[in-house]
Amino acid sequence: MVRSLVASEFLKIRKTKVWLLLFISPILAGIVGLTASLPPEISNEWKHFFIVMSPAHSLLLLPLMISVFSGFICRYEHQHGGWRRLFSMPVGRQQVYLAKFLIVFGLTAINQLMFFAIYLLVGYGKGLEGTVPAEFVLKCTAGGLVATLPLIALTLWLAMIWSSFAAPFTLNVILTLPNILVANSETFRPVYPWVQPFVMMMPQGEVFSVPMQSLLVAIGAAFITFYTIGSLNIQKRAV
Amino acid sequence: MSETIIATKGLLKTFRKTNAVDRVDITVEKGEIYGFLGPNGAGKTTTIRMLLGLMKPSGGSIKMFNKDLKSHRIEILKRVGSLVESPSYYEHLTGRENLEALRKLLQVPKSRIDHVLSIVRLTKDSDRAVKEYSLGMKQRLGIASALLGEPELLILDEPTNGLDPSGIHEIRELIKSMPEEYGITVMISSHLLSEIDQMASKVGIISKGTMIYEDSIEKLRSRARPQIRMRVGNGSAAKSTLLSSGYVVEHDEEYIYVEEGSDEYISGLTATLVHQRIPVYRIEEQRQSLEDIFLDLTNDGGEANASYSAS
Repeated sequence: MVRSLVASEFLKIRKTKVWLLLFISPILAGIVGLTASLPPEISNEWKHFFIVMSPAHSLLLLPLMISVFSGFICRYEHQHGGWRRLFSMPVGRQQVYLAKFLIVFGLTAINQLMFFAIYLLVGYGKGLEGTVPAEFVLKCTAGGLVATLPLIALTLWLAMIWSSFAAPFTLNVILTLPNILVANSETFRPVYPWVQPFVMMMPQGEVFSVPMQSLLVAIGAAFITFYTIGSLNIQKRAV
Repeated sequence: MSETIIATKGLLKTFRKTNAVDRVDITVEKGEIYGFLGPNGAGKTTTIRMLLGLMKPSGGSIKMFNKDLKSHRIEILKRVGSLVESPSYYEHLTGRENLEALRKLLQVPKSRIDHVLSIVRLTKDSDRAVKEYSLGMKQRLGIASALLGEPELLILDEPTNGLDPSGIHEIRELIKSMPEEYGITVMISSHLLSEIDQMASKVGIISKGTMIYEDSIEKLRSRARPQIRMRVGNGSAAKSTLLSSGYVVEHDEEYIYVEEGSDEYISGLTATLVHQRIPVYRIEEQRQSLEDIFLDLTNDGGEANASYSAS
């Protein structure tokens, strides 16, 4: 059933303009990368370049893109009685939530891949020395994706219950703006869902980093909490 | 023996201490077209939302196909096609894509799409985006979606709302054919009795959340009482003359109203007036239309005289 729901969601979102938005954040990070000058005589240019490029993507735009993706996948349901028809189909509501969750997660994953691709492209374009630290870069990119799980669960839930497209987006803007401050706080950095992707995309042992284990525990706990609240609330909500 | 498709007992929905739906019992038998009537805001849509599991009742029970809706929701919904506060559609998709998005969930063969498109005569326009559709076409697409899963029961909430007369006619003919051609039981709501009159075999009338009538439409029609109206020269004088002669009448300005309409009664009454030299200009029989009966029922019988019309 979840498979058919995902297929149905994909059919519905395929013809929206959401695909164009997948490029915004990686391209912006690419521009930052292009204009940045690397300090001379550093040991690993590629690694340093990643640390320069990734905050542009993960600190501000990634959390916002998640709310835009969530908004897109719910927008056509809020217009013209979509929810009522969807929920009067023989489908479980928690499965609907899961299917939409998987689509937003998929879009976020593509977004991360695009970032990775542009990182390589710009890096080679600038003629960086040495080899790409593949393991490090992939770990950070994949880790950043894992760190978006709590935020996806929360934002998707809000997008499902708020009929306005702008409302969840505005809330996310408000809560993303303090990211730079939160990132500097050792107490809040691991537990703040809007900054978790950024922290996860920073290399271990550098500034802003958090011990991997405690970070994963914080992300896991937040994800389970938001997902459960969202799923249960959608289940009993009147439409 | 007929099979009961929908049976609600004491169905209740409370919003902030007021009962939007107040202990409603509905019985829909297989093969019926059940007209669910009531003025706007009477609780029709709320009831239908509960029947489709979109909203949880505050009390009472819902059985469909002899199964409890609460514990068999998905199983029941597989057999139900619906249209709630229509029309619902995804406007960025074509008509065919709209149906395909639902077909994936209903898991019926792809050929169903062409079939339902032809039933509602949208085949030609199926590859156009729905945002270019007229209201009537959107409504027909809604009915096509409702039919897609080969339902045994169709629940349609105001399917003709906002349509022009030819659109209404078309949808009505379509619904009328459902029980015979496809063996589908239909429950259709409306705020206009005249719309349902020509297709429903049974009606349930809801007013202020309470079911005030549930029976065949013929029984409802037999409630129509004929009335005699006379236009006379002096209404109040005529009334007192007639009352003192033992005739039961009402008067309103220059009109005299008589409930009892036998020939002897009316001729005797007329003779009395003529003897008293009160001019009689018109004697006419008035029959309540079905719509008037409906209005009377839903208005608690208020303004009864005003709702009579000349026949």
